[in-house]
Amino acid sequence: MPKRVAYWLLRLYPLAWRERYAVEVVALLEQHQVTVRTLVDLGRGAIEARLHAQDVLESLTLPIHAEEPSNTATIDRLLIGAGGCLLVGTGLALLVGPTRSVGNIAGLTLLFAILDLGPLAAIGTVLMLLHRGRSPWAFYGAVVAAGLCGFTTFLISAATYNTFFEQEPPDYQAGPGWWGGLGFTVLGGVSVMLTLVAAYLLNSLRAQSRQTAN
Amino acid sequence: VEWECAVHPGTELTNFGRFSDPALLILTSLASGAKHGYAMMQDIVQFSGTRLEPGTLYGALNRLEHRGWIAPTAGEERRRPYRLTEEGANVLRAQLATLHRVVTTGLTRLVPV
Repeated sequence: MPKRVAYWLLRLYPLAWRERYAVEVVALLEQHQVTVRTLVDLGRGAIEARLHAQDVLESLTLPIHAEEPSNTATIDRLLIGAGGCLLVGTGLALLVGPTRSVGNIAGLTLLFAILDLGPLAAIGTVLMLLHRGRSPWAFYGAVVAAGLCGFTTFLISAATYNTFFEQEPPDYQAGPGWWGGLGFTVLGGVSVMLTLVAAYLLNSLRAQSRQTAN
Repeated sequence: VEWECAVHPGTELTNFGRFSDPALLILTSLASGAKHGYAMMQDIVQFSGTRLEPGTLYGALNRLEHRGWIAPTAGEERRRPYRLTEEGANVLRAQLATLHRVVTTGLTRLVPV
């Protein structure tokens, strides 16, 4: 297996684990005959390592040695940035996007704001905690919050689809139409995925900063 | 197969979950001297016929290292050898003694069959 591919594959593992074992595992994979079973085994190992991330950190007896391509850190940050932008974009779309208002009262817009600002605030708080490394459970909190946000977004998209399909309703302002509705839903989906990726990667950064501090 | 360690309570490999069998194989492999990951895999295939995959191997190594039953030794960074510690040797001895009793009992009981 090419070295670069092996490193990318090992990105499934927590940062602390990678810094300790990645160099050795990559050397092993260069000699090992990689099969589907190998890939499944690595995936399963990565899930277990993530579930016991704290144990992995505590078990480190050797100084870390990073040999991973340096551009991966940049890609991490780009993904976090993209996820964050899309998340904020979704929130804004909910606030000022397709509306179904009666007169001057934008009822659904207000509902969007109430439903989506809660999860957004939760994510912001949890990510802040992640950065400060105050809670070992912050990562799981971020994932749950991201999931909640995504679920809410989907829920709102589904609930308001009717708005996009309506043809010049007599008492309502028209929404942005089919394409707007579709784009809104896609944006929500992408936002969920990228938010989860961002939470996952932020956890890695948190582990890295903790290691540096130690 | 899971074993209980009667000689050293609290040190049994059963706490390793799915890594208990690989851990025993690794300890056995290291009993003949320090080895790096790939050498361990080769050795384990030879003496047991079990082909450990890298995810399982390093999952077990991490747990064994955490317990202090194995330790990394100075060597090439990319192929870092691991050695059995004294505590690890004691655990292995106890596990093998238990297994030996099981094997002996099993073979004895199979004879009439």
